[in-house]
Amino acid sequence: MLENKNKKLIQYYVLKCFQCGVCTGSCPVSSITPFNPRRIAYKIVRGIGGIDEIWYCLICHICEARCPSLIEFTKVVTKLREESIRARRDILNTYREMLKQFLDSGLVIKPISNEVEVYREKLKQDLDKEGFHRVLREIFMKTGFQGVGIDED
Amino acid sequence: MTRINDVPNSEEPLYYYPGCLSLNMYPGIAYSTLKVLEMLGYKVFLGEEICCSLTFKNVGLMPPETVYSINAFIMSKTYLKSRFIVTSCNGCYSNLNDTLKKLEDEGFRRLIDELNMTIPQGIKIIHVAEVIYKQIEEIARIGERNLKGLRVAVHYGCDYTYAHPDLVIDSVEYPRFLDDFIERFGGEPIEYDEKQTCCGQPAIKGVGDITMELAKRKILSINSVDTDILLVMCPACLLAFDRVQYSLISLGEINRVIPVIHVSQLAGLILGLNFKDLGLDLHLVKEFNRFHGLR
Repeated sequence: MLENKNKKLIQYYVLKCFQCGVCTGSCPVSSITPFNPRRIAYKIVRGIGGIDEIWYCLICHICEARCPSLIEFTKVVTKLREESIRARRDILNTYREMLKQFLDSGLVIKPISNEVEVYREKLKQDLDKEGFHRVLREIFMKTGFQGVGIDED
Repeated sequence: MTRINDVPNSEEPLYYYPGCLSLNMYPGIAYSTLKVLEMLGYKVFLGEEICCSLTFKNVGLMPPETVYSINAFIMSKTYLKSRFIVTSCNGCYSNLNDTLKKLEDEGFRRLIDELNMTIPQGIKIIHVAEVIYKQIEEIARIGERNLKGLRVAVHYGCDYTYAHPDLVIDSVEYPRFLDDFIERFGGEPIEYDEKQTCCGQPAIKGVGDITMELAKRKILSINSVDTDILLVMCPACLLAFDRVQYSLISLGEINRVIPVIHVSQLAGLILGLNFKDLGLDLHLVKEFNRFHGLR
């Protein structure tokens, strides 16, 4: 499932885990979904694949703030998500709409109603779109982001 | 509480970075923040409308370096204007502070240089709730309303408390600074069982309705202790509680709703801004009747 380089990196993140379970006990979603950070850490260290529960994580950071080994578990989750998002077309489709909106306007959501649009006049700010797009292009190029899924289909 | 010293006094110019939700979902938050800061005597620059892209990092769509570079670009906009970026969103606050930490990394610093971005020395990311708390006595001095008779439940939000425990101006597990704020203006801060749990808003869209489950748990807990108002410091948390209550009352699962208000809107209310300016009519749950009697 994981590329070798990332697999090593992710294993390195969780190597200090001694399975105390404070993360899972603190996790707001572990009681309502199959998400279990302690078990995920175990699977990673043992090299066991099939960690589809990662999509339930809220990245709320509670587990990190309480972890006695100071493991940055949200980094593990986002890294695993980066690895497998291409396989989750349903998720990809939702977020690439937001990505399109971001590339087009700078923000990920449009004003949600006419009332909001009218109110927004008080806060009007003109974005230098050309400059924004130029910087984004450069950032994407230098950080290796290729707009995953945006030009597909 | 040492970091409260980092929160600037009113002679410092500020760069207010509103973020997506404070602008396009609840623009009353952005407007209140701007007005409150100005009323407190700050010179405020309104930041450009560029998303901090936290969502893309969290879902795994963009590599962290890409997101941090976008945030560095946002920071570079403050050059020659201010050393302080003020946010009204916990997510932007957390993401910008992550970037600030990343800027200590030599490799990333080089990348930012290559991208020709200049970031002011000693730049600090501050949450508007911290400014409001620091200026509590000034708000009391110039304020026109108080909160007497109002029972208020506070929700602080994970991206402020747990994401950067070293930066919180109060206890991470048992913060009280906004409860103290309520008390200072004669309101009654309410304790409830689920006070420290997440609102559920950052859940990945389409992977079950986690937001509904978690926000509902909190709302039921707050509902059980007779509360007039729910105070938050993040527009995403506001969205979760506002939307979920709207659904729950429509489905008949609760029989009363609790209006939700952002800390900037509450400070604006105390300072005398009118309801229209606070943007309260743009919320889904509009039962703000309890505010009408406030003097």
